[in-house]
Amino acid sequence: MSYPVELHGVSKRYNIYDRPVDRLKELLWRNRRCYHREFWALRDLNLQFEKGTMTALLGPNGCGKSTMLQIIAGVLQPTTGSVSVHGRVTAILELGSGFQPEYTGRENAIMYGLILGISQEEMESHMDEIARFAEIGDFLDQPVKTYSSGMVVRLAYACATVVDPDILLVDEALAVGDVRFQKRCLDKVVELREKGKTIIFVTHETTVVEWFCHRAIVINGGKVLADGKVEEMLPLYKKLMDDPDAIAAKVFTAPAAAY
Amino acid sequence: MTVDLETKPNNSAKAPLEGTSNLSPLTQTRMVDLWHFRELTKLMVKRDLMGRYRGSLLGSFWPLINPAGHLLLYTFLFSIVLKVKFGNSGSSSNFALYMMTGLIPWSAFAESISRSTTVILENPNLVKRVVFPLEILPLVAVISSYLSQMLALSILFVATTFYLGTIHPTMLFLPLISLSLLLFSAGVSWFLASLGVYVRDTKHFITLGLSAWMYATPIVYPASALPKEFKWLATANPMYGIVNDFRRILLEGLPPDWTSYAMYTSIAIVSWFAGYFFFSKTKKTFIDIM
Repeated sequence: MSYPVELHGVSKRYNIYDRPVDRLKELLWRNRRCYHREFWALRDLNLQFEKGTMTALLGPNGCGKSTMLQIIAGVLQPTTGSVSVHGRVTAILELGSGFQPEYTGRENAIMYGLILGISQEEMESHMDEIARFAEIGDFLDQPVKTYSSGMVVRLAYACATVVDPDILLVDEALAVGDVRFQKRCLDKVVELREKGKTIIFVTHETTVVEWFCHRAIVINGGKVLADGKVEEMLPLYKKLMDDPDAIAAKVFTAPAAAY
Repeated sequence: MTVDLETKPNNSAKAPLEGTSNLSPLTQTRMVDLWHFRELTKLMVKRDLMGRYRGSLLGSFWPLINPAGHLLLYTFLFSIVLKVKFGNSGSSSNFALYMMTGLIPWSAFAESISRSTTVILENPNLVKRVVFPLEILPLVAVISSYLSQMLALSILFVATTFYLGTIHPTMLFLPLISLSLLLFSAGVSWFLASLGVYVRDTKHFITLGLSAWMYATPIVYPASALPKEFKWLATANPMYGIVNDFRRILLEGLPPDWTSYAMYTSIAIVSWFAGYFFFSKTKKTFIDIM
């Protein structure tokens, strides 16, 4: 039995360059010369996510939650380790999405589908559902740049859920919507969960976590601090948030090995 | 089963996307992926062309008015004011047509590469938020520049027929030369699109570089005017051969110069593959920089 999402020793290192050209120089030198310092956003994550579960990622800002979602989504490559993903992944990463501001909502939805390998016709057939869920009405055929931020997130949410994903990644997207939309989003997420989809969620709303998630992972400084049942994790998370000294500092380090 | 998440699109809507993305930045992208994304490319090209003149009064007539206006302008300047005489075959002495014939392939090329230089930086959404096949972005710029020059070409056909009183059957060689131009433009575009992310100065350099390149190509002067010591440009610069062949087939009724055709087509093929390779080798790190 394999899990829909598995992380094996995933680390993400950012090389910090003082000038962009240094990166190119290093590439051309094929790492024989070193022009950078390092920042480890994630360190050695080993995690499995089961089918039909909803997991919350908790942690202070900048602890690596979003980086982790980006890696699972395939937008970002891990520095070491590997991620295996079985099924279609859709993601609502940060606020906004891969939308083109000049394109209309409809065109963006079609493009969203084409990127995932869904034909234009199939996406057109979902269009009513998208418009209904996003509640954008006649704005569907207006450029996305004319949308309010709530409309953009709703459209992103509608696109990400309508294409029948096996894995849904949500990164704090709820924060923008009004209460009613938040509720509808959660309903949708629960519906997906019950269909056996895997959902990974980044949020700071502890009530949402308490009500809907099976599992919570507390991340601090790019490492898993604790992982387990929601009722055990939440007090831990609250304690972490109340203690500024516990939150890992962000430091750049010199490259470990000589090149 | 190990496939690259970023490069393998889901072919059928239901097929699960299996993958392990334990990939180094060196992971190659297969060129067939470009074909998978043809619908997406088509959509973006269409959107790009529509967007250019959206909101303008004359709308879709602009791509025709522009070249026609320029042609009239050149005719006035070169035939009436400056009285430039130039033409390898005696049949054509119209400098405006010569210039225009050179300018069309040049503009397709120049516009492609100057747009490609910034195309990645202008689309941070597509780099950071979705797993987007970034290699199609420069390609969209190239194809869209091509299609807009194709309209200019139709104006040129009308003008040529009018001035020369005939259409040369050698114009049937046009797709052949255009293909080489396309391959060359796309290769250079991929290279510069990637370089533009690393080195922000690229776009400023390209503005200057394109001017220099244009004067190194016989567009505003006949190829025969080039001094002997610069003749090597004819072989080193693929645009030289391409412009020359455009004139041969469209204005002079001659077949392409096959030696130079073989030369620039080889360069074009090499640059297509090299540009693509460079782009796909470097694209994984774009997100870390932007």
